[in-house]
Amino acid sequence: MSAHAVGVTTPPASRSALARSASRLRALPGSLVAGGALLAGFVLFGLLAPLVLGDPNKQDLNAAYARPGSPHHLLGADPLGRDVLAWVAGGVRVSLVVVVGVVALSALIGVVVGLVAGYAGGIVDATLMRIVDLQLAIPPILLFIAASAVISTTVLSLILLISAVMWVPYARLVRTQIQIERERSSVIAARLAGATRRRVLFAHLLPATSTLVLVLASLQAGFVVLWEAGLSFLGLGVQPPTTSLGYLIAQGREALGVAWWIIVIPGAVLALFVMSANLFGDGLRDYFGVDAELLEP
Amino acid sequence: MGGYIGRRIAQGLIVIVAAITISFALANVLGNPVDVVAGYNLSPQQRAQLVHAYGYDKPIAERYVTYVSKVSHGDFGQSLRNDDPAAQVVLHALPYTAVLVLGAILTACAVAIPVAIHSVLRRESRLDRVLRRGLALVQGVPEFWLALLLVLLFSVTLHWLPSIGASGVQSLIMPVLALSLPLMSTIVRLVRSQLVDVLGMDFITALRAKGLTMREIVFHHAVRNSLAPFVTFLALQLGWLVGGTILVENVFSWPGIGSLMVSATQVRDLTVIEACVVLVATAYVVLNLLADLAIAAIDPRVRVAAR
Amino acid sequence: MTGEGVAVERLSVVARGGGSETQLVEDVSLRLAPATIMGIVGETGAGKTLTMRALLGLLPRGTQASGALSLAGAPPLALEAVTAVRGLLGRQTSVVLQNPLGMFDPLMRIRDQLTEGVVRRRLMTSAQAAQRASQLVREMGFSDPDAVQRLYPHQLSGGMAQRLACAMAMMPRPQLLVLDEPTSALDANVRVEVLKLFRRLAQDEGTAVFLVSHDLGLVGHFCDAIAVMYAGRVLEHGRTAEVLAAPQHPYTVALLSSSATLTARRREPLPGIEGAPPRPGTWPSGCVFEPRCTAAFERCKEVRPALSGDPEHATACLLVEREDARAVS
Repeated sequence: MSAHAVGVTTPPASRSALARSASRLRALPGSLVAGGALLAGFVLFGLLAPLVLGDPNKQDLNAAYARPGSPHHLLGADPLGRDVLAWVAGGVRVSLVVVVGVVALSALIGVVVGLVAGYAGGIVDATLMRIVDLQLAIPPILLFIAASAVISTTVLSLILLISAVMWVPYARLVRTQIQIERERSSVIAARLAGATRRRVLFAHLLPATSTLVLVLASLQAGFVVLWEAGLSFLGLGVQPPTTSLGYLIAQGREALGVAWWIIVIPGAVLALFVMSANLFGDGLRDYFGVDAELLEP
Repeated sequence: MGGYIGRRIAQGLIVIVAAITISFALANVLGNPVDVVAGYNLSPQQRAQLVHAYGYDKPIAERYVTYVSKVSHGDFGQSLRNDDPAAQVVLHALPYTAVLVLGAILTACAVAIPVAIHSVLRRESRLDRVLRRGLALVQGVPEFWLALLLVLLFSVTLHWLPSIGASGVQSLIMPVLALSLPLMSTIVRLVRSQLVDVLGMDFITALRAKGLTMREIVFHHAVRNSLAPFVTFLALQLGWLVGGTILVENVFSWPGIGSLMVSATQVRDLTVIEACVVLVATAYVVLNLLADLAIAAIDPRVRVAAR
Repeated sequence: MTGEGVAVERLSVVARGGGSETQLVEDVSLRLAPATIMGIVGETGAGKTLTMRALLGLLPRGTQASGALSLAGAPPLALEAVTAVRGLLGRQTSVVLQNPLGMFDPLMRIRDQLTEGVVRRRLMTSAQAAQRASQLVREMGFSDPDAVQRLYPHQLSGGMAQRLACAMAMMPRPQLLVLDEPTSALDANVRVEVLKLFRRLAQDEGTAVFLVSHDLGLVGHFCDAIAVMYAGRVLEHGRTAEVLAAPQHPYTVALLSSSATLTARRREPLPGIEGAPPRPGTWPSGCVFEPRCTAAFERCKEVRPALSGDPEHATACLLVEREDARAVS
C-alpha cells in the first residue's frame, strides 16, 4: 500500500533513512501522527519542564495575581503567587503519572480477569461477569467521591481507586476475544496437534488481543485525565504540595474577575492534553483497523 | 414480556443492594465512623458514648443487616452535620439535580438530533466533514472548565447571567449549557453514525424501490430504527452525566445532589454520603430499566428475545 | 413489437473516477412482452445487476448509464436522466432483492409495509391499498392474509418473506419488475414454490419481468425468454426453449454443460470453463469471450461481433454470422 501512496521515483538504494521513515510516516493516519506528536510533546513537557522551572509551590505574595508576561512568571501567578507555568508543568507530570499508572494497572487486572473468565468458563465466568455488570451499573465518580471521604488521596491511592473501576472494559474485551478465538479452527487444530492449553493461549490469543488492549488503553487515557482533574477541582483529589491542573483551576475560581488566566491556561492545557490523547487513540484505532463496537464498555 | 420485566427488576435490585453494600463498606472500612467523622478530638468517654449511641459497637455483620433493613424502609439515619434525617436532606436536593439533568438532556437532544439528521441528508459535503472533525475534538473539553469559561463570559464580562445559586430560569441557563454542550457533540456523532449504519442496510434499498424519497426514508424509517441504540447510549451516558453534574453544580453552587455530596464529603458526613450513593445508584437503575422498556416498546425483536 | 411491454435500447454503464472512464456494461438491447419473464444469466461480474440497476435508477455512486428505456409504448426515457428513471420506481418499475428479509423494515408490521409505497405516492387510498395487499398476499399462497400481514419481519421464514416481498413489489401494478437473484437465499424446495406462485401472479397482472439468476435450471423452468451476459454484453438471447435446446454461442454451450442442474450426466465431473471473465477495463478489443473460447479463430481477436438473428434467437458470434452467411449463399 505505501508503495503506491508515496510515488517516490528514486531507486531505494539512494533514499536516505530519513526519507524512508518520512514515507512510512505519511502512510499512517493523520490523527495518529498528530495525536502522537502532541502527546509526545506533553510527555516531554511534563518530564523535563519541572526540572528547569522553579518550585511550583513557592509562594510569593508580592507576585500574587501576576499577569502572563510578567518577569519570572511567563504565564502569570495564582492568588498565592505560585507560578502558573511551573504548576502547569507539575500538573501535567502528575496527570501523566496517574494515567500511566491507572492504564497499566487496570489493563493488567482487566486482562487477567478477562483471561480467567474467558478460559475457565462456567461458574467462574458467570460470577466474574456479574461483577463486571455491577461495576458498570454504578457511576464511578460517585464511588470516587465517596471514597475520598474516607481515604486520603495521594497519587498512589488515586491510581488504585480509579483502576478499581477502569479494569472492567479490558476484562470484557479480552473475554470476548477469547470466545471468538476459541471458535477459530487454528486453536482447535493446535490442540489436536498436541499443543498444551497454555501454549495455545499464548501463541494464538495474545497477539490479537494486545492490539485491542493497546487501542482501548489509549482511548481510556482521556477519561482518566478528566477524572483526576475533576476530583482535584473539587478538592477531593491529590492535595498540594502535589500539583494538579484541577487544583489550579479551582484556585482561579476565586479570582475569576481579576485573573482569568489562572483558569483559562491550565484548562486549555488540560483540554489539549485530553484532546491529543483522544486523537491518538482514534488514530491507533484507525491504524489497526479495529471495529469500534468491540471497544464499547 | 412480564418475565423480562421481572428479570430486569431483579437485576436492578441486586445493583441497588450492591450500592448499599459498597457505600456501607466505604463508610466503615477504616473502622468506626465516629472516629472518621469526629477525628480524635474526643475524650474516651465521649467517644464511647457516641459509639454506643449510634450502635457502632455491635459486630459489623449485625450492623450491616440493620443498615440494610433500615435503608429498605428509607431510613438512612441522621445527617452527622445537623441531625436532619439523611434521606430528607438528599430528597430535598434531588429536584434541583433532576431539573438540571433533564434540561441538559433535552437541550442536547433538541440541538444535536436535528443537526445529525441534517448532516446525514447532506452527507459527504466538505462542511459536514469539517464539522465532524471539530465535534470530535470538542469532546475533550472538561465540563467544569467549560462552566467556568461560561461564567467568565456571561457573568463576569457581560453581566448577563447570574453565576451562583438557583434563582429562577436565568440561573438555569449556564449550568444546563455547560452540561449539555459536551453531550451535544457526543449525541451528534452517535446519531449520525447510527443513521448512516441504518441507511446502509438492505431494507433501505427496498424502500427506495418503493419510490420513497430520501427524506421520507430518513424520517419514517431510519430514525425509528436508530432509536433503540440511541436510547441504550443515552442510558450509558447517564453515568457520565452524574459526574458532570456534580462538577457543574459545584461551579454554580447549584443546590443539587452533586453539591450536597461534595460538601458532605468535605465534612465527612457519612450518612448523607451513603444516602446520596444509594439514591443515585437507584435512580440510575430505574432510568436504565425505563430505557430497556422503551427499547422493548420500539423494537419487536427484543420482545421476542426476552420471552 | 411496439405499444406494449418493455424495450431497452443500447443500455451502457460506465464507471467514472479519477479522470478515467471504465466501461462496465456495453450496448445491451432487449425487448420483453408483457406477462413474460426473461431470465438474465451469466457468471458473477457479467454486469447483470448493473444493467438492472440502470433500469431502476439505482446505480451506485460513480457510475453512469446511457441508453433508453421504453415502457408500454411510451416515448423512450433516457437512462442518463437518473431522477426521471428513479421516478418510475415504485410505480411503473419495481424490484425484489436477493435477501428476502432485507426487504423489510424490522420495526414495522407487514401490512403497513405493503401499503406504504403506494399510499405515500398517492397511487391508491389506504382502503384500496389494504384491499389490494390482501388480494396479492392471498395470490402468493397465504390462506390467511390478515394473520400474515399482522406479523413482523423477524417472524417470517425466508420463503414467506420472499413471497411477501413479491406481493409488495407488485402493489403498484408495475409494468416492469426486476427480480435480482430472488431465490438464492432460499432452500431448494422453497425456491420452486415461490417462483411458481410469482409467475402466475405476473402473468395475471401483465407485468414484464427480468429474472436475474446464475441458476440455469431455475431459469430454464420459469422463464419464457433468456439472455446470456458476459463481460458486460449480451452474447445470446431468445426464447428459453430454443436457446437451451440449441445454444449457438460457445459461451452458452459451455455454461450449459457446466450447469449442475441441467446436466443429465450426474456421474461425470462438472466441466468448468477455463480461465476467468475479464475485469472491466481489461476487455479484449475483439470478441470478449475469445480468450476462453475453444472455437475461436483469428478474426475473433479483431472484430467484436454484433447480435445477429431474430428476436426468437439472436447471438453475437462470428461463427453464427459465418453460418448465416453460408446459409444465405
